[in-house]
Amino acid sequence: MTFFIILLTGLYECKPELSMRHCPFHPGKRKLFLINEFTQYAADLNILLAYYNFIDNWTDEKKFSSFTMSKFLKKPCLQAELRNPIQASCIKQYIQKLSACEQSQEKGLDIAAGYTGEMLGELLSFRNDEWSGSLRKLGFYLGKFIYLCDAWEDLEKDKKNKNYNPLIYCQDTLLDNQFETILTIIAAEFAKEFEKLPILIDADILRNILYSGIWTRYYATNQKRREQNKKL
Amino acid sequence: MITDPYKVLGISPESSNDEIKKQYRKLSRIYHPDANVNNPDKDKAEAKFKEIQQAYTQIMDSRQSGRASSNYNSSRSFGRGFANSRQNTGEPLEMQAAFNYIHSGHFKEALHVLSNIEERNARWYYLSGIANAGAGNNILALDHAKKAASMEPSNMEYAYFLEQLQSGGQWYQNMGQSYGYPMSGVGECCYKLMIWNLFCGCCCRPC
Repeated sequence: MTFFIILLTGLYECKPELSMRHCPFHPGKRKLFLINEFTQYAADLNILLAYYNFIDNWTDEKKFSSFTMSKFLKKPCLQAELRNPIQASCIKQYIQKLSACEQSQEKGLDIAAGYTGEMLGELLSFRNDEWSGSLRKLGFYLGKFIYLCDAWEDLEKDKKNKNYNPLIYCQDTLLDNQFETILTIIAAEFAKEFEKLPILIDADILRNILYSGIWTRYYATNQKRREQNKKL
Repeated sequence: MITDPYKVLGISPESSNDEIKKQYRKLSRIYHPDANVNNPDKDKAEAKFKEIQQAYTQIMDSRQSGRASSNYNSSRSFGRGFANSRQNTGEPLEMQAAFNYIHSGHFKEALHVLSNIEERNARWYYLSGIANAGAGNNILALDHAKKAASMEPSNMEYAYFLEQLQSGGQWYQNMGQSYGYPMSGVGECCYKLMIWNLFCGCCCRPC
């Protein structure tokens, strides 16, 4: 979500307000906070995503830790819902679609990853203005990329624990670097939409993220697997 | 379509993307509706802002379409291959309907029609590839484009489409080289893991 803040702040050139505040996790000295419309928006989205995910985990898997956390987040979630009713509805529907996808053991990668893409696209294009088209597409392909990278990272664990992972059904796709080719084609789509936006503030930071940083966990996963294979 | 979008922005066609963006920003600060709330000529300012917006979008879209990629909404971006493709009037009506839907940018409708066709020949895979690319299903689009090309290796239209789908990736890799793509060393891992954490919370797959 920090990426959302940097991207939207750069696009709408919304100057942050600087203030010194106490951070609950670092209670010693006061820290410098940069606050604007988008930091509040991203914070609300974080709460909504976390809350509905905890509710889903409690409903499906009876995880008591999720039940406890959902109680802790309920009041902030209600406040975030009031400020962002459309986004709250979008996130609820996303969690339901993911859950249905898991139940039906959906094999289509585009379908499984597409739900995260649709959700992120809607969350990014919330202003419904002249940039909504590009933001929706950027969010769509970025969401697909993030979902697929997570699925790639969890593949071995999911096979072992018999958890749902659409990559289990796509063994052909994983051969001969085809998966990396697919990720690159998806990455090209969100990068293309980014380059259309008139962002000048922190543009190079955003490019570092979109062209390089976004690949971190994918390459870290590959390196870990190579090291494990060497040991065997 | 604006005849000379560069003239609207007051900038040369040789300008870099960053120069165009700076000029857009400068004009947008002057003519944006939010900056003209108390302006007696605010309607003219708004009309000018819309023209600037359209000119900027037109320039950036035309510069992007020089790089082949699977455009989300327009079959025209598949360039010479599909735009010049003619409807095969000898083929079944459903295939002709799918072709027409694709040509008009109605990709989901095209996919629906294609799903009801039993015979899956090279042409079917080609049309399905384009419709899936237009609908944002890059993975299936690539798979079907490969199938079409392998079923008719001498068909230049199918080969060109496959090349277009893959060329977006090549553009991305070229752009990314200035920003550390691909990852060059283990030493950069920590910095890049911090960057990945910027996306934490975006996906509800169990971590």
